[in-house]
Amino acid sequence: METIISVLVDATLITLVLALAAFGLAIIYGLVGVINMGHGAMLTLGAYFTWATTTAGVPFILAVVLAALGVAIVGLLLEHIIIRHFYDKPFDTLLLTWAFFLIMTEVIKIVFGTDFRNVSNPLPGAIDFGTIKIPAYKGAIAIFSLLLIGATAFVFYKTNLGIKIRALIQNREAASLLGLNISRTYKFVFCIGSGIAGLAGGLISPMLSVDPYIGNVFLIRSFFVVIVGGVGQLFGGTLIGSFFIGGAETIFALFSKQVFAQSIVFLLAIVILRYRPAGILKKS
Amino acid sequence: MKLEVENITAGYGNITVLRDVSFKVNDGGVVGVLGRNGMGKSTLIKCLAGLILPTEGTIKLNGEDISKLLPHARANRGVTTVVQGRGIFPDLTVMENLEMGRIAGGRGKRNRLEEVLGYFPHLRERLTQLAGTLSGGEQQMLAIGRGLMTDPKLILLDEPSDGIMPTLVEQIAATLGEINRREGTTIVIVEQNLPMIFSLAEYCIVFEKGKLVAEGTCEKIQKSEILQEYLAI
Ligand SMILES: Nc1ncnc2c1ncn2[C@@H]1O[C@H](COP(=O)(O)OP(=O)(O)O)[C@@H](O)[C@H]1O
Ligand SMILES: [Mg+2]
Repeated sequence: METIISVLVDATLITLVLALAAFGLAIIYGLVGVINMGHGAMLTLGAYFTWATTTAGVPFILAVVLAALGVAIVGLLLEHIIIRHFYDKPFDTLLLTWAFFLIMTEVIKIVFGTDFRNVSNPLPGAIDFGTIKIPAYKGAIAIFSLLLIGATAFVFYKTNLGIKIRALIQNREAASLLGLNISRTYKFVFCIGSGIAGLAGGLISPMLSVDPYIGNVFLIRSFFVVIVGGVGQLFGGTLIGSFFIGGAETIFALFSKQVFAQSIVFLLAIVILRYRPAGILKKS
Repeated sequence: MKLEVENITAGYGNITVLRDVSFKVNDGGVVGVLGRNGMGKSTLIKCLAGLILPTEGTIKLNGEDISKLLPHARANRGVTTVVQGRGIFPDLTVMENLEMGRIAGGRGKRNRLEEVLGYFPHLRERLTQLAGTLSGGEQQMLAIGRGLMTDPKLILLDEPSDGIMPTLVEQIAATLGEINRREGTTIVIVEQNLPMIFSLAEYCIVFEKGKLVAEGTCEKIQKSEILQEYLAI
């Protein structure tokens, strides 16, 4: 019994941390249709921003907020300079975000070096429930992840902004004929998705040591979360996908060689775009 | 709102569909667009709405050249378009569809929900229903109602009677007439249903292979041989 509970708790924590890491990717893929191969680099960047600011003495929570803003701005620039010219061309955006990943990884190496960095854990210790112990920080992140996804779902289903975005996904032409500025809305969503990736990178940074490839491990998992969960199944899909992938965590240990793993994701993305453009569970 | 179309040429990529089309609609006027299938009527609507841009010529709204503006910019100047096939948001509720009309442009508009439900009382009982589950006629009413929520000065309609029961067609025509009279909204309506057009419009333009080949008051068009020649009636 105790082991069952402890496995369930572990699975829940892994699921929610993974969902947090994948959420930015899911938003950008689900709402603007871009497979953001740069997602891993955005996570990494968020982690480094957090490392740099906390090292300079900024309190952790503020550091994470700054990391989210910083990566949102990077995403905004990426969208404005490049991506916006290539919406509706999934292969082009796949390649372009891949290029962004390669360049950004080099930039990170030059700016921050290749040494392992550590962000100190703002909530060390564990919460003791008698039979099981939950690492306090991991638990807090799991709860935050759930709140973030819930809050985003609220915006999506219950606010005017949500109506605009859902309308846009269902019929872009009709939305624009009613006065919605399509390119501005896409830009906004891309920026938010990037910011959430940066936020996730920052929040995950105390759990791992930070290196220029930290985001990649999560890129691969995030990617599987999104394709298992299904495109457009933004909220439930992200959680369900995370649960499956979290469960299959061990398999991904096989892909610890970054270049190999990246290539697998890249190939899979191409195959899926070719045969299942609406996601792996849905026929287009 | 006064609409002036001057010598526009437009099409899709290398295909030119509309050639050198010019006409005018006075503020508060209702103009019917006639022509057989494939003659360029929908292309004209798309061009007026901004979904395609003319390669030559100009489109003016109250004197302002809007030929290069994107659809949302035209919508925000008071143009609303009900496309052929209606273009509702099927997975949004009726209420959300209507609300989208009010909020899409960003700036807060006066809320016309009660007025719109007054024009289309059918919709009132269906506000919480998903729009995709409405009948064809109800979807058409929703599409027009949603357009009205943008508080338009010019309504472009592309075959609103398409696939709709005759009694509903009459009702929709009557409502459009009422909107025009009460609010002074200018209307450009593409229609194959001649009784509907003749009950609504005062002036008609006729298209043949992308060219405007005949025009005149509905009375004149009805009496002339234009109907036989260009509409095969
Ligand atoms: N998206 C498109 N791409 C290329 N040609 C088109 C497109 N839409 C319409 N056409 C062509 O333009 C011509 C006019 O079509 P349309 O304006 O839809 O006619 P109507 O509405 O009068 O039936 C037709 O020859 C049609 O084949
Ligand atoms: Mg047509």
